Order: sequence, then C-alpha cells, then structure tokens
Amino acid sequence: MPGTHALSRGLVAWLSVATGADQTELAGLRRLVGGAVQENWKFDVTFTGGNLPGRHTLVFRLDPNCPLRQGNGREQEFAVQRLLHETGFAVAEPLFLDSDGLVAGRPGYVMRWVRGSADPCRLVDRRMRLATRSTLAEQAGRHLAALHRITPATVPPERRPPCLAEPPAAPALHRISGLLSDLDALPEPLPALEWTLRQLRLRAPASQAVVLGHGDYRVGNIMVEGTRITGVLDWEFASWSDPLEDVGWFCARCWRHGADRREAGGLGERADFTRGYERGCDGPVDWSRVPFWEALATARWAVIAHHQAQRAPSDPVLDLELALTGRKAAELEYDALVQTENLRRAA
Amino acid sequence: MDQLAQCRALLTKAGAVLRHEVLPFLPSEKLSAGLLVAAALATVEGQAQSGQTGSRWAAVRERFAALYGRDAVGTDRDWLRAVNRRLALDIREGRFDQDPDGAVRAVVMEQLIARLAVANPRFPETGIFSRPGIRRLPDNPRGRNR
Repeated sequence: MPGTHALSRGLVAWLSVATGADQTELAGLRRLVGGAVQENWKFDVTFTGGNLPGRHTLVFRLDPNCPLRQGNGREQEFAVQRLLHETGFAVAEPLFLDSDGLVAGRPGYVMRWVRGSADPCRLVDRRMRLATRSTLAEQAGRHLAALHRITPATVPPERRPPCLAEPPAAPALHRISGLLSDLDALPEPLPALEWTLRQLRLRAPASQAVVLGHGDYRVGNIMVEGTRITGVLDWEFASWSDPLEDVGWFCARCWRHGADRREAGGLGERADFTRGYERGCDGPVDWSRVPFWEALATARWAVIAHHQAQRAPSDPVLDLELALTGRKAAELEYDALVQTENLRRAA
Repeated sequence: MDQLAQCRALLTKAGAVLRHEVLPFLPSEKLSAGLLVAAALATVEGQAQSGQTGSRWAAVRERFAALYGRDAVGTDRDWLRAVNRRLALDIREGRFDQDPDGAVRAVVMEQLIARLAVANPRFPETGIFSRPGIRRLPDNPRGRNR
C-alpha cells in the first residue's frame, strides 16, 4: 500500500499534467474501507486554471498489488465506466486514466465521488424503515434493468473494451467454463465444486438475451443516500451475460449479509426488486430461471473465495481477511451443492 | 493434560481474553482488525478440536471405498489429494453424470462436512454464513459472528 504522502505527491503531479492546471491543491486523502480487491482513495482537490477548474471531491481507484485473476483491470474498467456514464447510467464519472502506473506504480484512474454510503451493515440494518427498504429494493431492480438495456446491438464494436469484445452464445456455459479454468489454477482439487458445476452445466438454461452485466451487482456495490440509490460501483467484472446472472448474484443467500429473510440482497423483499426490474425493462422476464443463477452465483463466489485466499497483499489486516475468506469457501460450496440438489429435485 | 489438550485450553483462554478484555476497548477504526484476529483464533481453535473429529475423515474414506473400491483407499494427505484429483476429473468428464446410488454426491458432501467441522461446524444445521470482521449479524443477533 502506498504511503499517504507519496500518493498525495504523485496525484498532485499527475493531475496537474492531466488537467493542465496552473496550481493543484489536494487535501483529505484517505483510503476508503470495504475494498478487499481494489484500493480506493478519496480526496478533495482544487485546480486553478486548466480544463477542470474549481474544487472537486474525487476518488483514485488503484489496481491491487496482488490482483485477482477474475478481474478486468483498471483500463477496461475505466472504459466500461465511461461507456456507462455517456449513456446516462448512475455511475461515477471517470475522469483520468493512469494506465502506466505513474502515480503509484500500478494502473489506476480518477473518478468523481458519488455521494452516499455503500456500507452493507448500514443497508441491511433491521432498524431501517420498511418503506425505505421497499423503495431501495425497487430502485435496485430498476437500475439493474436500465443497465441491461445496454446490449451488443447498442454498443458498436469499435467502442467496446476487450472484456466486451464478443458476446458469448451461451452465457451460462461460458461462465461455467471460465470457473472450471479458475479451478484448474488452484493448487488443490475441489470435487464438490466440480460436482456442482457439472450438475449446473447439465441444467443450464438457454438465454433469452445477452446484455451488459455488472458481474458483482450486490449490496456493497450500490451507493445510497437517504432513500435514493446514487450510483453503482465496481465495474471490474463487467461482461456480456444473461440478464438473470446479475439478478441471481444480487439475490443469492450468500450476498444477503446475514439478513436471509430479505431475499433482495438483504436490502428488501424480492417482490419489490422484481417489480422495479420489470418496470425498467422492455419485455417479460422468466423468473423461474433465477434459482439456477443463484446456485451458480454461490459456486462462483466459492471459487473466488478460494482465489482470494491465494492472494498475498502487503497490508497485514487485508491479508488476514483474505485468508479468512478462504475458510468461508466450504460454507459456499455446501450451500451451492444444496441449491443444486434442489434444482435437480425440482426438475 | 496432554500437550494437545493444553494447546486447546490455551487457545480457548486467549480467545476469551481477546473477546472480553481487549475487543470492547479497541478504538472503532481498529475493531474490524480485532474481530478478524478473533475469527482467526476461533478457526484455529476449531482446527485443534478437529483432532476429536477424526471420525469425519474415516467416513470420507468409507465413501471413497464405496465409490472406487477398498483398494483405492489410503490414509494420508497425498492420497486424499490424488483421489480428489481423480474424482474431479471423472466428474468433469461426465463419468458420474448418472450417479444412480448417490455415491458421488455422498463423497463430496462428506468431505464438505469434514471441512466445515473445522471452519464452521454449525453451518449444515443453521446455514448462517460466517462474516469475519463484521460487528453484528442484523437478523441473527445470536448467530455466529465469524
């Protein structure tokens, strides 16, 4: 992790060039909590002259010093975020990309700060008013539907970053194939996950559509201020996918942050979330396929948890957190297996 | 008291001191780190207790015997890794797609239960996910906090 002073100096020098400012004053630089994969640094900056004059609150999002195999990298994430911002989607405006790692020795980019909080503890707190909960769950559905209106047909090939180059013909099989490759990269065989993924492969539903998927759409990655979702964060896993993959990830029990009864991510009722989604999308949705995607989401989180445990960050607290995440994998594997059994019985 | 039992007792005492005498007095910005350490200690404590749950792994060996025959069963870690590689490959290549008597499902489930006996023994019963570093469980105030 870079020292605050060194990072501050690096940001001032780089932003001065990027904006063409005559003077750059930076204050309040601090690392945001909650990012087990990336580093996010918030700061206030005042530019005198140049192409971004005035005072701004910004975030510098930095590649981890031990990247996760599954992520897209900052350059592609920046491109996806720019694409989304241009379509009017609720996302932080990306401003400057440091693909050469001039600031901190690793790639990163600067974006505007989105007001609100993404803290899951606050968002699933049982003391939150029921009406607020219902409103937020509906908004979460509506935002997701808005994202899913972006399809390969609406983004010309020349504007697509590599992670969006070619849409998969069969998103479920494509995801399973990627997860099997991820399993091969681990030091120990994991037959329970092999079994779950095999069973899911045999029951993979055909996709009705291929859309732009977030890949990590859940409580923790949506910013909320009061009763309003102000932005969607963390686009490193974006890809073309089946729209229900994001729905399954959002609703999977492992992403309800302990609030199991509130099936929309621990935030609210599933009915509120699906109502919001249906209001925001163009055609009918076959919700009967969601259990498949929830089981696949749980298996995918288990694979990621195993990979998290393989990482070795320089920050000792994060290192311990990742090691404990690896211990959590057995719970996820068990849950995925049980869900897969339920699918098998239902068939 | 033998050496292993002494180690278990030591871990239990250290965990109790951490939870009751240290964590309540940590400044809020260090509480998450403290909870992570408590979770790690509890995990090691579970590992130490697992010496008493060797029967779980005996059950795993029995499940493998049912699947691949008694000759294929060993006892050490190298054997387990090798037989799991074979099982993973067989599953991936579709050799067990039918699994009419549930032998494959049984062997993978038994291994998960053996791993959970260390990581989170109540999970098969409660389904409550561990949340290392999280201060509370919103809807499960009496649930495990690791």
